[in-house]
Amino acid sequence: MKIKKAHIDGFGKWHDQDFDFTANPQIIYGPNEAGKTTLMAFLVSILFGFADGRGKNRFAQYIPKDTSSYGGSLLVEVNDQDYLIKRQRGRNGGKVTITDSQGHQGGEQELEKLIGTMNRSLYQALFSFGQRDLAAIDEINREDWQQYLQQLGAVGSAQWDQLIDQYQKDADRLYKPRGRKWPLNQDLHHYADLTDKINHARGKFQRYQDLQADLKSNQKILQQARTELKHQKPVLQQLEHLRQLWSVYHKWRNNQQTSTTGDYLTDQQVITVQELQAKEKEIQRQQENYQQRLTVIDDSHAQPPHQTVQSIQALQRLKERAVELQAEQALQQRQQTRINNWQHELTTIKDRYHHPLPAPLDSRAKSELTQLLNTNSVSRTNDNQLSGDLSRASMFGIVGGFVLFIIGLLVNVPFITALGAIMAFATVMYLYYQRQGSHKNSTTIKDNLPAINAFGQKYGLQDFPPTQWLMMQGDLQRAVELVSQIKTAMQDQQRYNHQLAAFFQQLPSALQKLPLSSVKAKLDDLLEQRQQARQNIQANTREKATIASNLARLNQAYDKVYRQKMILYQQAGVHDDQQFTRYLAQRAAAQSQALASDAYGQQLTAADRQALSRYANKDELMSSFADIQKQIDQLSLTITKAQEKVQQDKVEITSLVEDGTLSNLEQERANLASKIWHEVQEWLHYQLAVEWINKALAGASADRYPAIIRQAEKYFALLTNHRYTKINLTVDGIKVIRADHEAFLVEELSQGTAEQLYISLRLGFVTVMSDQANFPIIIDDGFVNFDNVRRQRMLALLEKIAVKNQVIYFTANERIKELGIKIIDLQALNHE
Amino acid sequence: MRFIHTADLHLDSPFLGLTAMPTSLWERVHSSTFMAFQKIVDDAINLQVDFVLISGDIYDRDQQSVAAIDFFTQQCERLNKAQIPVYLLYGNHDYHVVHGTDSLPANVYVFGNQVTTTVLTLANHETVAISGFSYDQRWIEEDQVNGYPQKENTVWHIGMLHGAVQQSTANHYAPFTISELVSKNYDYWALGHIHKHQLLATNPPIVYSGNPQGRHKNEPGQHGYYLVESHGKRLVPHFNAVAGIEWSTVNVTAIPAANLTEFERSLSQQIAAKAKKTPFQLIALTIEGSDHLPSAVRHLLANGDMLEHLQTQNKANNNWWIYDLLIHQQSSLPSMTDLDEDYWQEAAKQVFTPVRIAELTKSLAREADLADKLAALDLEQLKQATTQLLRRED
Repeated sequence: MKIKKAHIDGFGKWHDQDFDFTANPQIIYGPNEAGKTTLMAFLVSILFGFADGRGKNRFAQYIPKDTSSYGGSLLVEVNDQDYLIKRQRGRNGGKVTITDSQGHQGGEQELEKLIGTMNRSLYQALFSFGQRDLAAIDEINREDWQQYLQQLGAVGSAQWDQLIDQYQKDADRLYKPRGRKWPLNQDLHHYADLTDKINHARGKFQRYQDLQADLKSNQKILQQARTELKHQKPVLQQLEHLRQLWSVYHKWRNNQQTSTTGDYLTDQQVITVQELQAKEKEIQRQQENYQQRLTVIDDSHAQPPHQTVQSIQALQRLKERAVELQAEQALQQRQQTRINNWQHELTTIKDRYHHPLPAPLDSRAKSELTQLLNTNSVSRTNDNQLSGDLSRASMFGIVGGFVLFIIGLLVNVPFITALGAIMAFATVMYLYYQRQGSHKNSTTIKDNLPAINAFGQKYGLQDFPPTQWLMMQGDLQRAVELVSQIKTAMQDQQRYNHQLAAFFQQLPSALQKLPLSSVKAKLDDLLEQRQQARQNIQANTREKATIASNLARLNQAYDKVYRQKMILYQQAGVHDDQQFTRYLAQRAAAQSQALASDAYGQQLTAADRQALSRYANKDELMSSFADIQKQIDQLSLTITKAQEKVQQDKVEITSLVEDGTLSNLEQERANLASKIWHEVQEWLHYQLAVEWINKALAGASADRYPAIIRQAEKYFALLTNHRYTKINLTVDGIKVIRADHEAFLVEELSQGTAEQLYISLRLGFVTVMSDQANFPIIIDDGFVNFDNVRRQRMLALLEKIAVKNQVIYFTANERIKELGIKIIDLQALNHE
Repeated sequence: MRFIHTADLHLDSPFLGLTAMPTSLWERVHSSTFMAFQKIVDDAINLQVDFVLISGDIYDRDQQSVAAIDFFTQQCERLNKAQIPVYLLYGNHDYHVVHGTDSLPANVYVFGNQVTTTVLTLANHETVAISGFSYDQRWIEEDQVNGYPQKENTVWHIGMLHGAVQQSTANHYAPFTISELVSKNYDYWALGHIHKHQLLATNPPIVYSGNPQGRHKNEPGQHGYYLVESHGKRLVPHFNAVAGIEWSTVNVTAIPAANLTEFERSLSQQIAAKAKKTPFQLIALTIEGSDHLPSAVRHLLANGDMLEHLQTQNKANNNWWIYDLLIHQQSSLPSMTDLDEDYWQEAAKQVFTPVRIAELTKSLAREADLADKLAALDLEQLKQATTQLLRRED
């Protein structure tokens, strides 16, 4: 590239200024403050962009203070083509336009095509140097050169550098050793996380093993407890059995202890005693019977025998008397009937007159009255008729009574006899009274009032009508008769009653209440009884004698039995039956105990007894039972708990087994590992690609190296007037060989010579690389340490260099003007 | 006599090399190690074998999977019920200081940490001696075969051994030589540790049963167990596959299509035609001829987008799942207009070195168990992969 012209619109102190770089080398003169540095900065800025406003670059921006326009243009020639590069105020280094000779306009990209990989810093490092750079000669080393060489793109550099950039970016986008956000970094981070999780999940394995161990131990516990339980259960059953047997055993044992005391009578003896007792009782019973019999007999002899005899006679008399009385009683009864009839008649008469009846008139009074009344009665026939009827009935009564009386005698029934007698008597009496009554009835009434009345008064008939007076005389007469008859009959009756009462008093008291009719029969009975009794007494006397002999015999027998019994009682240690009864009860109890004991004994096996014998009492047994029960309960509890634990363990184990977390994590991590490995490989491929390209390029570049050195040696020889012939650029630094083969390190050279060496290397490099990167060489006010000779040589060298590269040389040395070559005088331009 | 020889069950250990997968596949994958062993037990019961040999690595000790241990115990219990004895030893993954049979059922015989020999008598009165030992640590570097007795007067003698054939270096797993084993005069060697089933020798059979279920792409093909039967005086192993999932590689040719959908469909069709029907296939898909594809499609293939798409499309597929997609390319070095092939080769010598890679991956090696993988990187493969990366930009 060659800069032909420059036009500054505004840049630092320059504005609207044109420069023509026609000469080569183009020397630009300007003293301090003339704008040399500004112009240099302008050239670089148009090519590579304005400096941005950051940091110290602020001062490299050169924004003009007195004009608004900033920037300018360069007319450059590249590969024989002219381009106008114009750069103005704008972002990112300013707005650039590039116009080729045909007038095609382009921007940044077209500019890039012209300048390739060159950038401001590389350009300044390689193509532009000033006094400061010369002083840095000792900092040059092989690697930097290598770097420069490569950067320059020794071979096809542009394309490969882009690729390197691209790959580096690609690699960096995957992974940076200290990055965080890049995919591989993140994946690695994730991988570490997963590993943590997996390790955590693997912790479950320990848990699993613990659980398995726990399960095993619990199963063992369970089994032990079950075995133990299996052993204990029969023990408990045995104890339960013993517990149930205890009461039996207890009784059996007690029986065992008590049954030894007391010898009882044998059954035979007891039977004998019981027989004796029975005999004794029998004897006693017999004795009692006899005694009773005696008592009965004695009782039956309570009345002395003579009394009985007397009584018989008395009874005989009473009996006779009763027969008499009975006969009279029949008469009395008929008499009574008559009384009744009479009383009835009387009553009828009384009723007929309503007033107390006066006494009947005597025959004189009657005749008086008849006169008074002169009337007669017609009632006489009636009375006669009545009389006839009555007599017929009386006949029947007498005959019937007689017949009855005879029958009664015949059959020896006093009642009938008496009845017959009474009937006959009564009939006779009736007939008698009847005849009396008929006579009294025929009365006459008279009627002669005053006399009558007086008469009435006199005889008490005033209450009755006088007509009746005569007629009623019959009735009155009859009434008097009746009263009299009744009285008589009553007296008779009374007498009879007295007799009867006297009779009854003689009767034995038992018979006193009986009616008379039955008394006789009773008396007969009594008589018979009395006779019987007399016979009995005789029999009893005989019987008593017999009984007495029997009793005597029985007493003997009893004594014998009693003695026998007492012998046995003595043996039994008792004294009487009561005691013996108690003794028997005891003996029976003892026997039943013995029996029970046997029964209990049968319920207990020998083993049971032996087992039970270990226990003094039920409490001991029960406490053993309780102990075992407790143990069994404990075991059951243990089993339940162990079962629960086993179950829990199993459940948890199952959950661990089924927990796919670990597998998932493992596979996830395996997958991630694959991904990571892919990424690592990809990254590695990028990195290796970068390295490979670099190395390949370095290899290719390395060929330039000797050329550069050779070129530099030539220049160095030229500048030092062949004082030095060789340059060695090593990793350690630069060595130079003098013509006399003496080697010097850079540090050993004089400042001027060192600067000459530096310039030689730089220019050598630029020269050799000019086919790759051909840019104007800008040298700023250098060579202050050069004397004129050296400066001459230097300029001569620049002339030489200028054949291939444009050289723009800025200097403040006025003497440059004296050389008579075409220069641009900035001072002059400033003065324009 | 008839018995089953298996080993390396690796119950409940994760599948390696998968990235994302749908739930159904995850379940299939997760249950696969279990299912495989369950099938073996099914077969043992159905075939009424005399006993079952398990030559180590039943589960990963480090995994500490409760499910694995519990499942194994249950399966042994099934065999116990069928009165089939189990002879097992522990390997480098489930190394164990053996005290009795732990909590395993009574039919399980666990070999102790020293070589021991147990003799059982079969129903037909034949005697079988079985010798073996269990690992008590992760690595057993010494040859253990010396401890195995010579066959004596039993009808049969079987050796069980978890180990690897002696190599020149790095013999961590009870190294042995085939001739050593042969010299014991046994009738069968039931080996474990190597996951690919194979016969190291046939007379007598020295057999790796392999693992019943492959768990990553390096365990492709059929997996199962050996059913060993006596034929006269010889024991003859017969392989029975049980794995429910098989790792396989399917090569398809990229056929340029009108659009992306068409292209993907053609890929799916080719896979369906080429993949085994059973068991379920975990497929690493290799696409050939991608050079002819439009760069957009190549880009989708390279950045994983196409794989993701194919996976989504075939999610419900019950026969296979693509877990990886590889693009088969000419492995020519990148061409650079102005750089010689020599520069690249020279540079590669400096770049693809263990030291350089270790330096590059210094920080990664500390992470996520990557150190081993990084150390085990194949440099040539790396170079190839990087070349492909660079060529993408051509």
